[in-house]
Amino acid sequence: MTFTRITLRMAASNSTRAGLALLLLLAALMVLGPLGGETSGRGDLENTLSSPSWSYPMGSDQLGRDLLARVADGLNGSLMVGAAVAAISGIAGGVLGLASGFWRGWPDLLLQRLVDALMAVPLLVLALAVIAATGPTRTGVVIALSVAFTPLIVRVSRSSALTLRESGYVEASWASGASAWHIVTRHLAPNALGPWAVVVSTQVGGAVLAEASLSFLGAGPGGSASLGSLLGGEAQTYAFTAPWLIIWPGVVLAATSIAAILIGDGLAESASPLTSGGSKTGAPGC
Amino acid sequence: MTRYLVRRAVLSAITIWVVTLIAFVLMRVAPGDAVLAAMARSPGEGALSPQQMQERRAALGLDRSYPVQYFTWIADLARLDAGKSLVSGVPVSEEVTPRIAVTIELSLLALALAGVVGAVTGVFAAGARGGRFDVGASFASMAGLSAPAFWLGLLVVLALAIWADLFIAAGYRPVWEDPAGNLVRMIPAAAVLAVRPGALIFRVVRTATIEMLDSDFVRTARAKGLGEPRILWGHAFRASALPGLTVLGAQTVFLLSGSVVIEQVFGLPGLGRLLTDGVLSRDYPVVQFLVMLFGLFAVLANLVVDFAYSRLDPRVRLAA
Repeated sequence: MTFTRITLRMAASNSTRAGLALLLLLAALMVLGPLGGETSGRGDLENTLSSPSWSYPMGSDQLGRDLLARVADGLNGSLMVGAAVAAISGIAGGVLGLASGFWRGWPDLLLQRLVDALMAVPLLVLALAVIAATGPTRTGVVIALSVAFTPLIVRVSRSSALTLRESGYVEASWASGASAWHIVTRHLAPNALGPWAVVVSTQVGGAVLAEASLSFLGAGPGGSASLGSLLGGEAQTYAFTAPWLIIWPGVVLAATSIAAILIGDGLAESASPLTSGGSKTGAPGC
Repeated sequence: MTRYLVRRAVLSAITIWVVTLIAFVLMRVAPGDAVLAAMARSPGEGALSPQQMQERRAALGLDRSYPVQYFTWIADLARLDAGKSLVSGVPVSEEVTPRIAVTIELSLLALALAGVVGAVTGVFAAGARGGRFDVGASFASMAGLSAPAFWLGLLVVLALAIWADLFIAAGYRPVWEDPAGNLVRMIPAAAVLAVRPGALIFRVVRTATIEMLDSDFVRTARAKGLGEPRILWGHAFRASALPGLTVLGAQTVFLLSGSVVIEQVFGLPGLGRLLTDGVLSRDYPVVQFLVMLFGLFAVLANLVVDFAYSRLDPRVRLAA
């Protein structure tokens, strides 16, 4: 399965289209959101906690700040963290997994025990422990989530490498005198790309949700730097009089996660030859 | 069978050991140490002189080498002594003990809800494939998978407060003092926590049951003249319970993770609250111990699932 074929099949998949459409909508929100609110950032104490209206499409918060602008800001922050975590853990996990699955030996053994242990600790517990060391900043959250998300990618890439190294064409490549480096970069890496891409794409959504949980708990950057921090702290105090304060950030958060799931599903369908004809047992709407 | 379990137990023990190493190392790479963190927390006390800081470090054992600190920690753990909280000065074990029950009860309730509701709706949906119930439940499971649990929790707290005049945050009651009051507070939280694993189990059980309904042994059962309910529950479901169990096992780790946030949302005094507070105040002994404890819970849960799996599916035993 080459990369181009996966891309072509993805473009034809309904889940991908729906996911991309949703993503475009979110991008529009991110770009247009801050434009409308003339009071964004500063606040307007005469219009605190006003319900959604033409001047405040999502309502305003306890300081009279435009919630739409804050949500757009938070979405931006959340997506940045999600993308950074996916990139870091994707590259680190992919390289470590391929290398340890290909060369085996004691480094592989050690790495696998470390992966077992990291995966045994519940995700948020591990991330919180890392944040205890790094401090509750955006960089801290990115480091924490990268540590928490890398093990799964290591495991997936390693198992690809384990299967691929026994395959006929790798054996043929050895026989024709190819170097280990050539085999890893030209045979293993391209063929392990499919499963790797599927896990990484689902992790963008996972990272956005985990980041929201951490910020909600107060272990992330404060203010409107993340959708999660919009839901935590003050918002809960005012939620009874101004429910939009917790409804809108959550709706946008859920939409982000749905977009990531849909794109991941599209990718999984396209990358796996088994499901190419559409799964006969798949749930409707999936 | 015995060999398989022994192998699994040894691997689990190694995993736990590596978890203690991770917890220890994480708390040592932090910039500054416990004494500096304590100083930063209470600026009112005034700065300590280098002499005093040295004394405090010696009192906490922080002046010794890392390997010595690690082995002291493990040796103390073996004697059930997890050190003292840097914030309250109370032994960590005394902070943890009353909270363990809350987290375990929450997780077990959620696990039971997710397993039962997910599996039963999954089988019903498979039995009436393509029907209104199937489509509705499949759509709901999709929504349940994508909605962040803590946000659902916030909405539930809000809805209960507005429509049922029930402030969940009004306090936790231990189950042995007030069982009804305890359940009223725990069940909404457990239900919210169960949404995601329940949705996953629904999807897996539904798919597996549909597959089983197309299989040869179900055709034989139909040919024998068995009724549909009997085929659905007695044959197809029994065979599809295994993949459901796998998901349930994998989701126990997620449940422990989710309980950290859900406890905060519903104001339950569990381990998650202790962990969050410990992280924010850099209470290293508490965080270090809780990371190990959560790892231990997760490993034990996986061990139980593996055991159940090997009892239910003879092929697992043979493969080992």
